[in-house]
Amino acid sequence: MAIFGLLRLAPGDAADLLLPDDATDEQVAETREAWGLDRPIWIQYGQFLSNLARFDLGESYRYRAPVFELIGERLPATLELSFYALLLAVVVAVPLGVLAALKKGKTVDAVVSVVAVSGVSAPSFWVGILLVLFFSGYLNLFPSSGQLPYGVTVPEITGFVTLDALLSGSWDALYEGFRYLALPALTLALAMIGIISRITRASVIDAGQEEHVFTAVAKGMSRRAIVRRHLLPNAAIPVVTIIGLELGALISGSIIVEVVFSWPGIGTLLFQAISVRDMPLTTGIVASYTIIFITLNLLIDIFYVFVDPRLRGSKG
Amino acid sequence: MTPHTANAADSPAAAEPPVISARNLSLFVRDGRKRIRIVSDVSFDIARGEFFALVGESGSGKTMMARAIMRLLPKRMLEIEGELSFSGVPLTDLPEARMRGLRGGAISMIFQEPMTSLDPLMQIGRQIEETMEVHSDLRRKERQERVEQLLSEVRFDAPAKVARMYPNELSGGMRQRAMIAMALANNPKLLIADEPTTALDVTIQREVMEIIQRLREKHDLSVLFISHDLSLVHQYADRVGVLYAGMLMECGDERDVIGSSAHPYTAALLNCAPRRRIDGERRQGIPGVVPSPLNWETGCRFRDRCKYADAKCAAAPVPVTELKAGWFTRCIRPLS
Repeated sequence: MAIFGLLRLAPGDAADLLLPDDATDEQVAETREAWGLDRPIWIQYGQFLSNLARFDLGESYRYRAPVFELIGERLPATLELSFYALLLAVVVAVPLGVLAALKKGKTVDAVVSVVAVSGVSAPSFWVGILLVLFFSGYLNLFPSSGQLPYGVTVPEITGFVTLDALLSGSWDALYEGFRYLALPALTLALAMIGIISRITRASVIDAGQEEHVFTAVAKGMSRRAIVRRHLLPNAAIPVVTIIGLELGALISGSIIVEVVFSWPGIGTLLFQAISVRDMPLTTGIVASYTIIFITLNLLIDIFYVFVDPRLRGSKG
Repeated sequence: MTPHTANAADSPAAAEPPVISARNLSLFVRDGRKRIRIVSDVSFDIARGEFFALVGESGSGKTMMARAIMRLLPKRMLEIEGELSFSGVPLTDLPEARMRGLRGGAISMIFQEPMTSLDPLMQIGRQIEETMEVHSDLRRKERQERVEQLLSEVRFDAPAKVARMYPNELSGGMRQRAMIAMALANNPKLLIADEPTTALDVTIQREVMEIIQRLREKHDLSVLFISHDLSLVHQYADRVGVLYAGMLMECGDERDVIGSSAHPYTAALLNCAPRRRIDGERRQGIPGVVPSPLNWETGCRFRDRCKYADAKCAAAPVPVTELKAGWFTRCIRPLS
């Protein structure tokens, strides 16, 4: 609702956008009527909601195509990028956090802290540009924009480039896909690595002070076995929570990163839609971000039940 | 006073070294650069099959004694001085790897808080099995059979079902019983019970104590029972050590120490016990507080709270007096 309201309040008339500059007043009025822009705002809102419930997000002013289809085309790219960014963040941050916790107060801990804080503090558009300058400008290792090089295509099975390449056995495309993913995924991951590694560190330290860890020592278990069997599983719960919360940052971060790396996802699409005040498209994309966010959080909540027996009903 | 033979020194099997032997044992904790003495010059023995109770107020150093025997805290946090041996094996400088072999094996321990002493994310049976994985080479199937056997020993009616439960599905008393089952998994010689019933209500307390007592008789287990509950000590202990401000004030057979206390502190402690309120008179606690390890002075540490104390008590460190074989007190004017 906030999105809908703000967009309607923004200056500029959608009809101007739909028509050439030299359109007559009559044409403008006609267009407004056709798109329902002449009706009162609450009617427009009601219409929007009832359409949304039927997965009808309207038609883009600019692309003259159903918003639903436009999003459908671009969504896999965004999900793919976010997935790899999250995967990278978790794979890097969790071991770093665990290491820092086990070496608390030592040099390793301090180094990880510095890395974590810089990761959190650096804005991703700036990090993105630095990475482009270094890895594609200077080292020429990774491409700086797009999803695949010109001429390389994969048969569309799921819409996810790397998955399609894998399924169809196009190894070149798979390789290229990952090369193109590298920089945007890294940029997106860096911001999360900071927070996830800090939380991991804190929760491993907390878990280490639990009394049952004492019990495990008293059983004669080695430090290693205790860490693996008792510390880490118990530390995992707050880490999963923070990953859930970080999904929000992931989504907002992906918009900027997609724009910086010309990634053909819904973030870039949203940026374009806002630039030209394409209202249906903007509202549609924002609504899909909301749905993605809610779905992911639901998945996280379901995941808890598998990790923590206390959340399961008693079998007794 | 009749002679009592539960004492190791008097028993015919004296050739066997005591399960635990502490001689002039002192413990220090490190706090940054400071090294604070929390237990001074403690000597006692625990014979095979003996129920030894260590009593004292909070902060007297009882729990630290238990942790020192298990060496649960790393050397940089808890330093041990003097002699401490387990069945003749000196524990003070035993390599960590060998110490690990004893923990949960020949020496096992149960804790005060059954609610937090078990890993909430692991099934009871798995947690018991884990102890066996460390100390024995039983196969999975054998371990599982043993788990059920142990759980029925601590009086669970449906051991197979309990083994598959998580700690949150059990009550406090049930968890403590599960802890006991875990502690017994490798047939230990010594069970250290650090206030195992403090967090439980009275009926459950009794049940847990009966289980410990029965298993002790069945397996010829020595028990180091740490408590401030004198009625339990009176009921179950063979021998008692009374710890005050890091010093063993009195140590001897239960009949002597509880029955005719020699040290004014023991007497005062007994006077606080609620079971003696039969005359309807409200008992008062001991006035004052336990001195902190930071302000220990020469002389008797109890003298500020002792109604018999005079200048002589402050003058010099109080030596240990042997009242009779196996009964010691650290008081210059023992009551009996």
